[in-house]
Amino acid sequence: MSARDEAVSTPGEAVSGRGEAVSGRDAAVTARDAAVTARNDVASPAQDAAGAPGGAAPPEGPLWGPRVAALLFLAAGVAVLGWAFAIPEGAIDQDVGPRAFPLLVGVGLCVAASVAVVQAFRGSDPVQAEQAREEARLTEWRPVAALLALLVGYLFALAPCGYWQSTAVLFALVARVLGSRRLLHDALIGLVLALAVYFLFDRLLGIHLPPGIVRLAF
Amino acid sequence: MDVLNDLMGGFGSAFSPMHLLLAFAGCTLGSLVGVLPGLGPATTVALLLPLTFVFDPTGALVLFAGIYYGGMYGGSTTAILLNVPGETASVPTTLEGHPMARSGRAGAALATAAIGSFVAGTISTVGITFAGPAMAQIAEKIQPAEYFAVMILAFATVTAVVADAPARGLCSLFLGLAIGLVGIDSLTGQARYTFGVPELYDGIQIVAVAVGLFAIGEALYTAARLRRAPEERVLPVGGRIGMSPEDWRRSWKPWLRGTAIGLPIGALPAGGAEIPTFLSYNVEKRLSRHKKQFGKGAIEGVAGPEAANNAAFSGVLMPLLTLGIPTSATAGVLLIAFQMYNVQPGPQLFETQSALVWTLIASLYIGNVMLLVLNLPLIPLWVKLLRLPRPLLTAGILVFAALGVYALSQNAVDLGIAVLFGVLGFGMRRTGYPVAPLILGAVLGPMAETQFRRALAFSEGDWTIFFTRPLSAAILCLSLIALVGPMAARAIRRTRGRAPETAG
Repeated sequence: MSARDEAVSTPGEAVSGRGEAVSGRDAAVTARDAAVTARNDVASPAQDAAGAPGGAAPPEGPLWGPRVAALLFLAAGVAVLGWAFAIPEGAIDQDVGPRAFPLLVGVGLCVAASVAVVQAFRGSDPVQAEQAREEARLTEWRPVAALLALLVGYLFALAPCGYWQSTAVLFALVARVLGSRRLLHDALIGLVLALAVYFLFDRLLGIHLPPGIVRLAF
Repeated sequence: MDVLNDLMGGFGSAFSPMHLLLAFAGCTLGSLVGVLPGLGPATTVALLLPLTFVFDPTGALVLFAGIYYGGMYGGSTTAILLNVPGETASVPTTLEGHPMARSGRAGAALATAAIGSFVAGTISTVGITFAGPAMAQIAEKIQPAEYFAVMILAFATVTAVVADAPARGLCSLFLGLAIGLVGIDSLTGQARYTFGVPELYDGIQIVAVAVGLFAIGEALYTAARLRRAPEERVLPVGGRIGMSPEDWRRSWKPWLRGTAIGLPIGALPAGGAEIPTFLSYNVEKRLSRHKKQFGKGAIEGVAGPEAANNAAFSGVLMPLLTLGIPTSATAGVLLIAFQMYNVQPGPQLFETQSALVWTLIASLYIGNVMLLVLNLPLIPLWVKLLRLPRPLLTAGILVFAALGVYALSQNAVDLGIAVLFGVLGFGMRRTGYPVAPLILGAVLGPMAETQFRRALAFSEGDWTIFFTRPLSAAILCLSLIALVGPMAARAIRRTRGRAPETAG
């Protein structure tokens, strides 16, 4: 954690402190990321190269992510299909009513998701399995949860507290959650940014933003 | 000539001080946001979408043309200096551009990308100028059944190209289509999937979906990997930004070949930019006299794909303007921009909104020149931007994402929807589901349904109409090939072993 702080506050030092060895692995990992999204033969050697350091996790464990995702897609498909039946069909007999297309979409989603479920549980897609392993190795859940909490808080604070007030706080707290340790400095940047946005949009462009408790006189 | 007259009219309007200023602002903002790591052109356009609320449609679209091109230019900078491709189509640039930057040739790589993009962008814009109106005339003649089939083709290619596996791509596509269903049915006034929530009667705000999926999803993804993922290192731009005579000699042919590959594929209703960039990369690799340099920083491998990328991106505007069909996630977001101004791209656009279309096309020419002039000298500034601490960068992105979504309807409901889609985008990205098909499904779904129902009304409910009309049947067959083809190719490769992969 403290190494990360250093990297944030003094980027120059951190960069020069890291050797070629780190940047080599760095490149391999990003290239592999690219390979995963690209699904292309060009990048598969890089994939093999990066496979080794990430291989610590057991092959079975990280697959829960794709499994849950596939099941959620299937649930969504069933829901779309179920609610489609609740749509009353139009009265005119020959035309296709408002229900037909939702039914098609629901069936499509169910079929595609069923295949995805089977694939995820059999682990038959090596690219997905590899990606899941890599993600599991690199993911920390706490900052994600904290960020989400901040966003939801912002959502509810916006109207009562005001735009620039809540935005300045959001900025500073997001930066902190993401590892910045200079709260005052970030809060100042956030305040300037929020005020600038407020004046530009609310006062100059006429997009109304909530003024909040402390109204600005000008 | 009619076209030239129209174009001159467009230039007349585009050269007005206001529109020049907007084009300039668009190019600068587009490159600025596009340079930021993790923000590809689609995200850039989605994030900046709300900033155009206050302009008239023409002004807003001029601004957007700049943002669209700027976002693409910015992407190559990140690909070369950071080894981060903003989207799949930038992957070839990372393969050669980043090694070039490592060996101190970043200046040449950035220059060949910028000049190549300019060449490709300009030639493609000429192409749009002359082929666009003709394509619109053809498009006017096609019937709902064919229209529906073309949309299926667009769905199929985007799904097949972006996904590792078609099943996951299709999941994403169908979920997008389902999102497009929410709201009141336009033909019968029947409420669907609204659960009695009045805010949902107008449908889900697609801008909130796009900003949530791309920008908020990206922020959550950054948060999750912040401490454990290796930090990305920005390579310094050593020396002058420019090309030696040798670089020019090795670049100009790839530029032209890249354009020749990118423009026609991009202009197909099933285009997209991924296939042409990879194709161009392979062509350059095969034709090059410096084969051994490939993978270690061959300039041809930057020049060709970057040109192909830009040409395809401009080509994508053809089906978008003439058919109203986006063939990439970025084009999907652009279509949202059009629709926000009640401008419906399609065969009639060139007639009903002639002034708007030609101003837009003229501003594409202007934007291209501006970007070339702007970007070469501004690259050092972009590099500084790349070194901003990641926490502050992400916080800033979130602030602007929230602002844009809130400004849509000035209530917090859309912001809540955007956060939900942020979670969805994060989850999909982590588990290998592509988001581009979702956006396309949500944007195109309502149109696809309308054409589908029109076709069936025309045939009096006979579902075989899609297969009995020859053109429609042919297009649907192509869609099937597009979807199943890559899977079959992979199966064949697997049975033949991995040899061809390593040899290529």
